[in-house]
Amino acid sequence: MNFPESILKGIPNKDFLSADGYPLAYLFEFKDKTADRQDNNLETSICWKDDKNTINLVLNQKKNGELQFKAGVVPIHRSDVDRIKKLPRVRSQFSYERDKNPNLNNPYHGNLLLAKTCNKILRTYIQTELAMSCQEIITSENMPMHNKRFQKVFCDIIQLLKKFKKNS
Amino acid sequence: MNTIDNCDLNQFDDSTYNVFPNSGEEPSENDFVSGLDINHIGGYMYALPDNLNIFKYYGEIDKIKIENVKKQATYFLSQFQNMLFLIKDKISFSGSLPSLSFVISDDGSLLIEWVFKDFRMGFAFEENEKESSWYFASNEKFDYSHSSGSINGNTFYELLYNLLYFVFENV
Repeated sequence: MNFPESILKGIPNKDFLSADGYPLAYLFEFKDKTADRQDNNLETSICWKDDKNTINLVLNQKKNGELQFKAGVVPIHRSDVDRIKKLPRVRSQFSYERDKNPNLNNPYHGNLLLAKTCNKILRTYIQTELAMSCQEIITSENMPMHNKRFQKVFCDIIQLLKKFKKNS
Repeated sequence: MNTIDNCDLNQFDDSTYNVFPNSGEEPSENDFVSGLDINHIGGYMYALPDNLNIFKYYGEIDKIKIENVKKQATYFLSQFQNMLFLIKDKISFSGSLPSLSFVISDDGSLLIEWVFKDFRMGFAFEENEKESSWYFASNEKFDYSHSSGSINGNTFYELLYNLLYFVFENV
């Protein structure tokens, strides 16, 4: 299966960030969803960045009527995830998947997977490596199309273009 | 560039440990800060300057429900602060350090993370203390150096010393 170059991880709130705004390892906590899984894996949700719409979709995703990722979304290069996968003591215990559930509203959804047999020391360590690999956090405020100043400039340009078209 | 592996442990002899609260040698009154609730971190608190006051969120450990996790974390923070105090006197340091982050997981374990721009370290305290662990991870600036292990009583001081020395040398 082909996977895109980056994954995205939504950040529910600022509790998942350090005081200086860096993602904490806890953001990547692997959860046991035995009922949903046939294999022996724990999972943590991600989105595959298939195209530029993915970021918008994750930022606007709602849960119980509220934005699910209030603190933004953070991209990670797949090459970094692959680097972690290849670490000698990690190998074969850590992987990823695209969600195969056809009823899912989010076509980009996927999971990072960790073998249930993996000890807690290694589990914490992998979470840390993932947090360390995070790039700059994207929020509604720093996304150009969501930024109010950008929106105003954009509207002004449209108005000018309309005027120019009318006059010509 | 200093790495954890080439820190000079000789700078840190056994006598240095004698200042720890439980060692029997009580420090003088002037060495301590009185404005904090010392019960939070156990024993005495050394007065740290503002730029080194990384324990801003230590009150979080009050929320820990598992007694053994709380006990380990309390002891760890006490030793961590003492070590910080000792090393800052050995190294000329004028920068500032970020606060420790405290996260209590759903299973009741505690993860204390110390996050810097290019590296981070953490200490996970589990109900079963044999599963309590530490880790160090870095980005390309430090060649993705990484290390982790269980928090073992025999090497605890060396570990803390190496990690803190690395921080002071590389922040």
